[in-house]
Amino acid sequence: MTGYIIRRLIYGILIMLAVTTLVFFLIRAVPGDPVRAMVGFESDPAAVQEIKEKWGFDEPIYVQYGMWFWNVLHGDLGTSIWLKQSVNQVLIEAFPRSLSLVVIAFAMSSLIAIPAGIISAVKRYSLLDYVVTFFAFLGLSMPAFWFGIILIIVFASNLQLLPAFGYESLFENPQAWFLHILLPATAAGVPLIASLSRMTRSAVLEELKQDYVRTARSKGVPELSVILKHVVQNAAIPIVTIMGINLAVLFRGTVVIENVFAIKGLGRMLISGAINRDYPLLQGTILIIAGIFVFTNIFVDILYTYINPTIRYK
Amino acid sequence: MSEKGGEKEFDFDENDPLLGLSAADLSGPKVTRRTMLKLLAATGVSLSSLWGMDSFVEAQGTGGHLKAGWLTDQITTLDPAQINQILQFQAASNVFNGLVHVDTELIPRGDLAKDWEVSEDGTEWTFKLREGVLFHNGVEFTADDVLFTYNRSKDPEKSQHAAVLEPVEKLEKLGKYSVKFTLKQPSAAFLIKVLERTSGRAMTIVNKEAIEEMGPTEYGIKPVGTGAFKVVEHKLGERLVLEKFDDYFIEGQPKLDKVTYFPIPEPSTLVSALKAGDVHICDDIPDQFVPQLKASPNVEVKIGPGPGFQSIFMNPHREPFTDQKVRLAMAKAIDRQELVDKALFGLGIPAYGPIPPAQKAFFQDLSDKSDQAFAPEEARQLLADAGYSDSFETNVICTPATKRRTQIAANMLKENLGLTVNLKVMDWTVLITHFDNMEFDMLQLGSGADLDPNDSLVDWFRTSSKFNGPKRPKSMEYGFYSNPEVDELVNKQRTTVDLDKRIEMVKELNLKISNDPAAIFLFHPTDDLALNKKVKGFKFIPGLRDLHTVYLEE
Repeated sequence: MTGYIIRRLIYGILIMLAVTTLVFFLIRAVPGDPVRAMVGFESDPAAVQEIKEKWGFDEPIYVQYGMWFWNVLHGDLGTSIWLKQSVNQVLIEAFPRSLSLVVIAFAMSSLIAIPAGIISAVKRYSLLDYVVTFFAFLGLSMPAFWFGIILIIVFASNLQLLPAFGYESLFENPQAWFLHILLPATAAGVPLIASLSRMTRSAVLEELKQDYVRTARSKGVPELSVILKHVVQNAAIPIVTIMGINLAVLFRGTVVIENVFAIKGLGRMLISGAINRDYPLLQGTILIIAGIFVFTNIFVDILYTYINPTIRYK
Repeated sequence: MSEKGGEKEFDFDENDPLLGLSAADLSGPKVTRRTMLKLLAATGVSLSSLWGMDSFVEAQGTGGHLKAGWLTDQITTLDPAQINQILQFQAASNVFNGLVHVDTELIPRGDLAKDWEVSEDGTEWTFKLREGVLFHNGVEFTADDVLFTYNRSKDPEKSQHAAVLEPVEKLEKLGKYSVKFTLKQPSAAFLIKVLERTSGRAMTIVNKEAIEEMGPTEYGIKPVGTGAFKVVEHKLGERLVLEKFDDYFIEGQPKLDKVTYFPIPEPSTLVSALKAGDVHICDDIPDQFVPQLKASPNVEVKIGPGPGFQSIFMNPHREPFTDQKVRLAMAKAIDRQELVDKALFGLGIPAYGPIPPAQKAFFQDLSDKSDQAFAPEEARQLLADAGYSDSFETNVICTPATKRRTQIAANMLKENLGLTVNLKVMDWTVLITHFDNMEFDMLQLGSGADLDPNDSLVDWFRTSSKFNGPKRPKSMEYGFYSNPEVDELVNKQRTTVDLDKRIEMVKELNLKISNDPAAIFLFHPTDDLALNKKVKGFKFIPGLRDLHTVYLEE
């Protein structure tokens, strides 16, 4: 098991390196000039040259890659061209914002989707089942971008119940933090309910057909106990898989949501890095996001062994 | 400096004119009332109806915490030496001062300069500085700060605006509160283009002690100036918090206690926040949101003429635009008013030349004078005369932000001339490379923040202008435009002292650039602003968002 985890970690790091290397060369293949984006239209040629030299953009591309790679190995992601700040510092600030958003959205979607999925499995083809299915697919069909704006218009602009945008620190002002995160988390989380509740429903249905359920029922175990103790535990593997995917999808979704709600998280940094051709910022953010994807996967795989002890990795 | 392909092309030319004003006219503490009246009287079109007149009423109240929404992902820097976006100097103008600052009529007035004198030949400018002015860190402002700012700004390693100071021969300290600029050649745009608080940037006064203490990067985030507000907090991309500077040198200003700027990248969010009252003022609103903001009971919308032009450039080195008749035919096939209505929801002023209506003295309505005026019959005839009776196909480059207007213009060319114009949508950084290299058939681009006629005439339409194909292949003698008559007249208007004559020349130039079409001129943008109705006392300077006189009514 330990050997397996170590192997997975090494593979994970290799994947992260492959992704960032790809991005390193791809972003440079895209037309556009980071220095021009930075200094603007009416720029002074002397100033442009100054900046190019300072950032090493006049070096051959493999030298630039080598320098970047060497610095990454030393834990230094470089300095953002656009923000003129260390990328490490930018990402340290951005990460908790995205994490707040993702955690709340994840909790919200899971807490709604799993019970809803169980209920629609147990009460299959009932009115309740159809209602759950209807709302799940409604959520799935709404683009997060559009849904976010609708939430802002309804809850911020018209009802004036919640702030329209922004982020407050959890430690400085927990209440403001929660109020600010509620709308973006809803916008990010609701579209995920569909897949998770449908997967829960079919996994639970699958288990309900099993012999052990009939046995449990026939020996007089209360129905609630049958469902929660036996069925759900056995249906957990596909549910956890989808939850793992959802977690990754949520981090990806921050790109859209953070822009709509003006939250300076990883997604905003990704966009800012791409639009302004801010190579160090983009590479650093991609590295972190790739890391989140890779380690979520490893974590889910390890989680399997706890849910189902018959699963063994070599 | 040579007119063709010279290396040293800057904002300034050695024989920059005195804006057509005499030295006496230009001496401070503000440009004289007579000059101002002359400038106003020369206005071709009355624009007062465009402006909310209440914005000029002196404010009566005081206090409040103003929340501002800036349409951007962050206010990257506030260091004048590094500022390159309008939205940055719109905020920084509340933290800093220059030696002069424009007022609502774009007339320069004394800011940190109490008074000034210009020598008869226009090369020596002696400034008396205000006494007892303090920086936010308590250090007193003196002539040494002017010198420090000057030396920092002319160093390309420390400043992006070094070229702006090229016309200055030297700066001398005459006393603790007196400095003298000596120029290489007379230059009247000196006040607006070098010394002005915001547009100049090069001589926006910075604090030596703070820069040395913090380093330039940190200074860009939390700068120290002499302005009405001091920076107390700046979380890049999240919020910028300013507080009233109690020792500000103008009695009774500022009125607000606190200002918080929130960068908001998504326009729908900004508009909702305005309607909800979560923000009270914005830097800009996209045109399509103006109607719904006007309908909101909380919000007042102000529309003013913006200082700039938008146009479609045609590459005169590529068929069929090598023929002047074809270029003119293209320009004649565009119905500007319809374009403004469809693409900009009516928020624009039809353009036939580069001089914008915000430059009140120099603007003239060319709608019935210009050969570019909409006439589809004549356009078809011109195209036939040029031998293009069959329709042809061509490309136009634009950005995602300018796609709508470009598509509408392309549709008009299709409808009126039967041409197939394909849109090539590119990111701004890519588009600008094509423009610099002259790699386009047609390309949509324009100019903003033009406070003086030279901002367009000198920077864009001379053979040697800095935007006129700066990276074109050597085989091209010029970029998108070259007209010897225009070159000559641009120089002439710069050396004409009589204001009325200069105005006539600028008008003539505007018409020449229109008739020998340098570009298809589309429209002059408006400066759109939405304010919460609680915001009182706002003075609308074109392109700026100064908050010195603003207060919130409770």
